Amino acid sequence: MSIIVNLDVMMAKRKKRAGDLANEIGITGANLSILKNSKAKAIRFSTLEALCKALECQPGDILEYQEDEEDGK
Amino acid sequence: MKHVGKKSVSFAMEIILVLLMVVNAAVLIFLPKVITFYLEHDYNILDVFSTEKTILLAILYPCGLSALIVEFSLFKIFRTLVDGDPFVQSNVRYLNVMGTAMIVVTAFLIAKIFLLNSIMTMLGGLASGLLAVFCFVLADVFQQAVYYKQDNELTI
Repeated sequence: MSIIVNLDVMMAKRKKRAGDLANEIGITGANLSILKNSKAKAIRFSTLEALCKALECQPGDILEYQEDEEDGK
Repeated sequence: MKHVGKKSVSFAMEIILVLLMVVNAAVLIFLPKVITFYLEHDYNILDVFSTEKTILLAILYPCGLSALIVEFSLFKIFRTLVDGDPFVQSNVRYLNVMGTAMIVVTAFLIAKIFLLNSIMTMLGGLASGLLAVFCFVLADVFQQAVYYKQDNELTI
């Protein structure tokens, strides 16, 4: 997938545990895991906003675009 | 009146479908005897090896088996309704199976129109043909619903 979720990197930087973060932003641990493992198909602005607030970062710190090898040819 | 979930109309339908499957299986097992009884009493045909009996057996066996498949598929679909999660991939498959079974019934009833026609045969053929189309359309609708549901579930 072209969009990489760097949530685990930001969590490590801010020393936040998954359970604490899930509680803080009001989503379940299972959904946070889906997001962390790049299994999610979409992310709501409200979730992104809550993540940015909790991790004190910008959306660009969490989401990253990487060109697919196939697209790059 | 509850339509979905435990102690609902769907649950009642589940029980009715189980009874229907049992009756259907019993009729299929005793089909030669049932047909003999029917021909003797309604048409006064006493020959056990009559052409009518052979035609009826050749048509009603596949139709009965198809009906059993339809009942089982409906039972499985109602089970998901009782569980409260009907938009699943298995229901799309069961609806397609039901559609195919109804096509088989339609084909045999059309054959019966030419071999041993009656008004009920023509009406049955028309109804089963329409039901087959309905099942395939509903399968497509369910497929879309499954897609949207998965999309919604994976939006965090």
